[in-house]
Amino acid sequence: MRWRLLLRDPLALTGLAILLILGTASLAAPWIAPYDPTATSPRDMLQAPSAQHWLGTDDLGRDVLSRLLHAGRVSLGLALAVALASVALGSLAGGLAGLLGGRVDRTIGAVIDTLLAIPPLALAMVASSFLQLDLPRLIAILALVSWTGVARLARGQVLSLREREFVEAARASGATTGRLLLRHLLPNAAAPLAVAGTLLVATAILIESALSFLGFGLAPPTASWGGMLNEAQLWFQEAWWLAVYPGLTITLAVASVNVLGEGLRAAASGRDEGVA
Amino acid sequence: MLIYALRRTLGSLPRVLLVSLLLFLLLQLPAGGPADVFAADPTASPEAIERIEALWGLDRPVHEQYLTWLGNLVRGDWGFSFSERRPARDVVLERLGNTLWLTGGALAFGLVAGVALGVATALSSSRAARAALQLLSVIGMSVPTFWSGTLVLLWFGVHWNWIPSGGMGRVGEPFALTDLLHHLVAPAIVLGSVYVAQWSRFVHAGLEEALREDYVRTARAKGVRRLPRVFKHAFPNAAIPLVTVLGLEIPRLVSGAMVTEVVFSWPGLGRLLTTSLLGRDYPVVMAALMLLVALVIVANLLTDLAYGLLDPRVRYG
Repeated sequence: MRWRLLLRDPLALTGLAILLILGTASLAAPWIAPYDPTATSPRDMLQAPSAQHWLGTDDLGRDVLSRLLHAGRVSLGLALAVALASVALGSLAGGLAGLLGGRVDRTIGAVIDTLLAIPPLALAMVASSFLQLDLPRLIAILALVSWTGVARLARGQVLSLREREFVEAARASGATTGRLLLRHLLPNAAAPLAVAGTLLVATAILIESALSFLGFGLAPPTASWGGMLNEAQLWFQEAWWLAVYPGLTITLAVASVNVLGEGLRAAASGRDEGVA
Repeated sequence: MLIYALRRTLGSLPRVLLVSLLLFLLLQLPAGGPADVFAADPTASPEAIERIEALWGLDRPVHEQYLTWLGNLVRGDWGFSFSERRPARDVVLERLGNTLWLTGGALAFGLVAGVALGVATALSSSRAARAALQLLSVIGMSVPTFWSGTLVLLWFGVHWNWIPSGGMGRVGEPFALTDLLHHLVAPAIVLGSVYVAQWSRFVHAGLEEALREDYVRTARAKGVRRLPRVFKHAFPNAAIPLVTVLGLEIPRLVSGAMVTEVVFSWPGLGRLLTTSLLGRDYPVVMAALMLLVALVIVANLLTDLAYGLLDPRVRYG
């Protein structure tokens, strides 16, 4: 990892700053949100952005800014959890496939091929509509559709590492398969895996919001950014702010993760893409 | 090549079987089995529910249900739509063409605009163009299709009335190709713009590299003009990685099409899947899913074959 390259990448640093702001604001939502995100107020319904309600109110008179902040906890927290779970599952499965080869490799490869043949959104829709959906299950479903890329990456990394001398030395001193993988192989592939994990946060935000937008997300009143768009659909013509702000927040978050991920990738590979 | 295509097709059969098994098992998950839909109807008597379960074979063990379903699928009997009261096959196949129109339109727009943008920025080689391209590709990767689609529909459709506000054609009028294309433009551009961003970067990077190769310099020394040099000598080599990403992107393209269909009320497979999932119309859900999977697998096969057309070094062994 060449951190200096990251420090000289203004785009990646901007992404990091935006993410920090979004993350802190969401974490602090209970304290900094101007209103209760679930408090309805018929008198204030569908108010355009104003000094009282910076981003306006929705059809039930709820403050959009407060809801966005609270929804950020769901959207960002969930995406982070999905990325972590996918990286854990993907590097274990891919690592084992690369290390053991043979039948294990073929089995894991067949599972990945199977999952890759199903459009990810369709699989997530089916799974979430047939389960009593709660947060842990939603995380599991989204991890199920996103771990395959990491697994392929981890497999390739392990394949290129496993003939190296330090692995041979560990093997000779009697390291078990698990120890080889967790102690010697995966730590040496940490940088590319971390980059893949970062970019997965962006994918997870996008797929969760698409799922919620289509009506297959968490049940109200738990709202994510996509869920807010889904709830407000009927009012888009009268109240543009209901359509614009949640989508803008999603785009901002995803774009920040993407540029940060690209910056990390450049730093990990030691290439300065801005000059090359 | 024909033998290779045949072998690949046969080789993907186990994959199709695995996918179908996975999907079938998913549909057996606890909440809301097909009979529950009828059980939820207060006028349905327990006998009627039992009769329906027996009729659709829902009372038999899962593996038997799966084998029966698979056998029927192969014979062309894809089940009976609960909600539309007609064969699921008819319901689903009607929608397949519509989804192909949309994905095809999006691919065409994405490729043409992406290649044009990538070539233009590779030739200009200015820092500003490169930075603009990078920014554009970040935005393209990050804007959710359902949001950009909604905004396009609200502004260009509802507010300014430039584009139709959804659907595939004017209601109550006979089919006309111009009408279809008129309705296709907005959803195809929304769906395709994601790929313009991505592919223009690939074309840019590939072309920049190819332009530095010796064979391009040779062509220049022989007096080949700039445009033929770019398009006949450098571009075909730059296009090969594009085909690779294209193949990898197909599942996500289909996912994106599903969302776009819902936003633009485009009567395709994705919209059908959404409504039949919400309505618990299992045979249609299963048939639509299998068709989407088939679409992905066929598209993967086609991209593999396209390598051979683009790159004479590829031999199908």
